[in-house]
Amino acid sequence: MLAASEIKGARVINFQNQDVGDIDELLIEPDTGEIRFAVVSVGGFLGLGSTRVAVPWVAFQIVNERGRVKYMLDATRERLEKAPRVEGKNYERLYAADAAEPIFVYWGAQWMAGA
Amino acid sequence: MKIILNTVAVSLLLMLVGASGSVAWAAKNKNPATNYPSLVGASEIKGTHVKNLQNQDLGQIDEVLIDPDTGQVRFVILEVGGFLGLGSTRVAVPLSAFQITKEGDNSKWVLDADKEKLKSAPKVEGKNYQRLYTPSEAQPIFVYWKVTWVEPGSNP
Repeated sequence: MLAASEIKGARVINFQNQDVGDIDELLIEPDTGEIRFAVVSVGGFLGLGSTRVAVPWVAFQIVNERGRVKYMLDATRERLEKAPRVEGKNYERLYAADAAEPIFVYWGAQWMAGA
Repeated sequence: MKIILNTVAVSLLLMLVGASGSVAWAAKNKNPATNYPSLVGASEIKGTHVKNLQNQDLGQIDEVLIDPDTGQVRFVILEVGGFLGLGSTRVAVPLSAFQITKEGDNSKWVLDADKEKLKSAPKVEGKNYQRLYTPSEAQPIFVYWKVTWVEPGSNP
């Protein structure tokens, strides 16, 4: 079982083992308890200051390495640069299908239309 | 009987749809008492006060526990304070036992629980959340709070 407050701040790495940034927030759909997005705070990797991008939870590969949980994302610098951003705490917007679906498409994750 | 039939129907459906099963799962497991048309940040949930149906303050949410395999929130750790007069007792409650509605800019969390119910509720000691992953520990908690049991890690 993962505790939400322990996930916050967890490192995200890409498939090239580069440090992408860390998890800033988990966005939950209250009706179903489903985590829809993780907000990843992309730091030095892009050299853009603190850019925040919304990534579908299903796009992560979660690896438990001797008790240490690693969050892997297929994210090159290019891909992160063009990724849909999140400004402030306006998460309400991400509930709407017309805003959320393109993010799923961008990350190659299956869109959960029925949710 | 209706419940059993529904369960069978869901299982069959999940077998048929395979990888896209999460769609059906999520739709079937929508909490009808919950109406919160927004996503909510996990860190915003922490510290939220929970009330009962009599509008009494039960305590506040201390932690949100997630099944890593499915990305579903399974339990919420409720820190029961002064209401019981027992210091800081922590109980694990399945997310589906809560009614979550929108109140202004915030979410309102309601749990059908009185003092007696909370007193006998399954407790959580420390941060040993791993324990709650095993069905033998988790299922009695779902039963206690009268919500539908869902297998951990079941990725339909």
